[in-house]
Amino acid sequence: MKWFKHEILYVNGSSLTAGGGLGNSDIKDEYKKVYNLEWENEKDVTYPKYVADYFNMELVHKALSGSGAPRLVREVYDYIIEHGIENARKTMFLLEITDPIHRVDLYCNEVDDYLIANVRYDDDYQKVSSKISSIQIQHVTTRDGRYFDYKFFEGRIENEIKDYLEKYHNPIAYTEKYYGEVAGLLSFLKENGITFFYMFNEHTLKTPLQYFYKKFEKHELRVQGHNCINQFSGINKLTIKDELNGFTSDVHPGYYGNLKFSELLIEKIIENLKPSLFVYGDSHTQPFIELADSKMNWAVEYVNYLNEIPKNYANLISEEFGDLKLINSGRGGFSNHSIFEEFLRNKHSITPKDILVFGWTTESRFRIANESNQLIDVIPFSPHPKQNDDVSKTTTNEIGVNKITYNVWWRDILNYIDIINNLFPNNLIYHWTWVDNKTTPQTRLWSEEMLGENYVIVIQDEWDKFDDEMKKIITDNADILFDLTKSQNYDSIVDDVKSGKRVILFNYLGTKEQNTFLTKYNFKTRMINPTNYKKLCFENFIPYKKYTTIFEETNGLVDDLHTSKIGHQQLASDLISLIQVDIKKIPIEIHNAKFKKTLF
Amino acid sequence: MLNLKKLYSNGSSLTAGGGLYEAGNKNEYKRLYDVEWDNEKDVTYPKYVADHFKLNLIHDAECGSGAPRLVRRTYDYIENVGIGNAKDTLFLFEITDPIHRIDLYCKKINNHVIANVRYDDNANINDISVVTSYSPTNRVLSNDMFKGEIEAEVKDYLTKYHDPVVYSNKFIGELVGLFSFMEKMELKFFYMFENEFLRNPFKSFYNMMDVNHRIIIDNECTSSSHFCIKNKLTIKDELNGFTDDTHPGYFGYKKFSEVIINNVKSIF
Repeated sequence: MKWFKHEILYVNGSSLTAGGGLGNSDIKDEYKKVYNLEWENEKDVTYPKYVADYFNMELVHKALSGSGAPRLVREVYDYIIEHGIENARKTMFLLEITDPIHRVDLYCNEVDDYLIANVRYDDDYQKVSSKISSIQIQHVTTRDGRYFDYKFFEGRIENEIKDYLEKYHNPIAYTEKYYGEVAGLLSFLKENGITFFYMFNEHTLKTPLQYFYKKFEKHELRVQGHNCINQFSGINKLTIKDELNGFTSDVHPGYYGNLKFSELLIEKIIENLKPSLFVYGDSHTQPFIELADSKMNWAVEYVNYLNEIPKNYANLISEEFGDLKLINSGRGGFSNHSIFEEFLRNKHSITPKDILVFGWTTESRFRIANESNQLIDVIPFSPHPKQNDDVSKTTTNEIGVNKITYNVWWRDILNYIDIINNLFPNNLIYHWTWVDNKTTPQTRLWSEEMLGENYVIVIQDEWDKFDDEMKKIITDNADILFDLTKSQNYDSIVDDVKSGKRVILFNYLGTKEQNTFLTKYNFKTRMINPTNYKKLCFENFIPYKKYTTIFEETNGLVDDLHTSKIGHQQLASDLISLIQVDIKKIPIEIHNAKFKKTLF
Repeated sequence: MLNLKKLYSNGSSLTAGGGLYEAGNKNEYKRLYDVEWDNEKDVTYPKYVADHFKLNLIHDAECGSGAPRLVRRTYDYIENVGIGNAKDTLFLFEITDPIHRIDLYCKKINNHVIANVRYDDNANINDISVVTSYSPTNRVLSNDMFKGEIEAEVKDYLTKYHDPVVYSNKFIGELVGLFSFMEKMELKFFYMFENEFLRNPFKSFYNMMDVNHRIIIDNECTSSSHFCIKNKLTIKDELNGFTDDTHPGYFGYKKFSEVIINNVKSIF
């Protein structure tokens, strides 16, 4: 279960979860006799144990017979306070919530811990005049390990508590308090990014806050439509009574009831937590089978060469993590605009648990409208037909040249990444590209207009921040290089500019003195921002590697530069390594890592 | 102007006008400043804030009340008015420690009461008072009915089945639950804490919540009490030592309401 990130399963609830009845020695003997089954601790044969074992989680089993919502709420907060929010985020909370009406949570100084008082009322319990017909204090093991059995509480303590509750306790008011308290606890867990699931034994606590629980539906574990395990085992004849053929009248979930319930619960948990894999990109992401089916020459040739349809990286990642549901939106020929638009189209299907991979394409591609008012991706410099009669291939090629010449076009991808990361701050998101990471700055800084109208170029930022290549380009483009931070005679520049020399001013830091100089002579200026957007973009990608191409893999027999079967394996391997580490992270860690590099 | 209709306020005597219901103090205010009032809640900061923003005031603060009653009553309010009306309400909370402030149900009056408990150095209860309200203006039942039998029963029970520290700790969670619930329901609320005890275990949670919900007074003050003591605006200060009562004074509340109004404006 490589996608599963939780280390601990914390469970709280009543006897329905605590193995009520299964600790009774007569019942245990009968299970041994009828099924040859035996156990020491009844909690070892409850559904939480099976769930914890299945997912390889440590189990903190805090359910107790007689316990209700009040103890559950208090103990969950206590657990989080004791272990801290960060550890709570590595824990899955499974809460079986029962009504408080017969389940009073109270502190006893003599025991120095909380007790569970199970209280029965006469038929008029809804009236203020109602009386307590019986009370039982459950046995307790205190936080420091001292054990008190039922008998310790019989007599004096039970009488004292009964007497007090008769006068200072109203079962209805007590229950009503937990309408809010339970909703508050669930809100707190949600607000803090803690994973939790709940079941309600009855609807008493839910009904007054239906508007609230509508927002929390995905946290409710309904197995076969049943609210809780008692309904499930009752309907499916899997109570202790059923399993022991009437040996006892105990209708708590039986051994097999717990087992069967856990199997279905595990399916529900997987359904809730297992990520889906969303991939976006061009032909390097689209499945080979689709490319071959659409008669792409290179794909058909390559599939024939291999005599198989190779798996692409998305398939390999999905398989590695246990057949993640794969939503592959890659399409051959897509430009980055189309890749991003495809993401926008299906973003509503993405949930916070899902993994997103973006395979960005070359910046040279762009879109134009065709005669059908559709946006068509243009791949410049390729033998594609014209996409619109009004736009010549020369025009599209010129645009293509412009796009590969100026790295500012990579800012489009940076913008897309920024939007994607902000829309899904807690998701695992990976960006890669097959495009070479070599960054070649533009070599020509002057346009004819600038030369004709005596412009000066002002280089923003400090000279020392530029790499040697950029420094050389600037130097090659300048007749006069002028350092604005050095105390020089600014006025001498004026003549050089007027005489048509190519003057480049560098180390422009926006100081008052520099601005005064620039405005004093009314220079026509062109600011150049030396940011290398392509380089910045690659910092947001997974570490660049050149993956094996079909040409390389087939020793030139298939003349195509798409990522090959081996290339896809290499890419998948790199992504799997990253995902394996990141998938164990809690949302806040993912969030923080994602926003360490940003353009804005 | 706020697009809201009501202001729900809950807290202790620091919000309820503690001390301003005393006849002697009221007379002295009349004598010194020619100011007078029938109901002390009419001269507390929630009233001024409600008036400023033209909101109907539900002033649910009570002397002796603490976090336990505040949590219970707020959920009750939301449930009673419904979530739609709750969204039209601005909630203003002044939160004090539960240690001396027990919220308990009393069947005899079929309602909750406030039990204020004092402990000696060995954590034994040496004094208890059970009331529905300390204010002669606002109480519906005489406090005398709790003297004797009821106070003795409650004291006896608390001696055996109550630990003030354990009781206080319970509300660390209940408070973050309340605020999380309100946040999830997109309700508008502000809070002040008298001290950090209830906040400390969930610092990261409050760091997140404080941005939009904490009333910022200044570096030294976190409540109306701190503010009025620092600015010499307690009843004692305003009445020139006529009384030892250091609850916020008449002018203290007025001044403090400006702080609240500015906080509300800064968020909305």
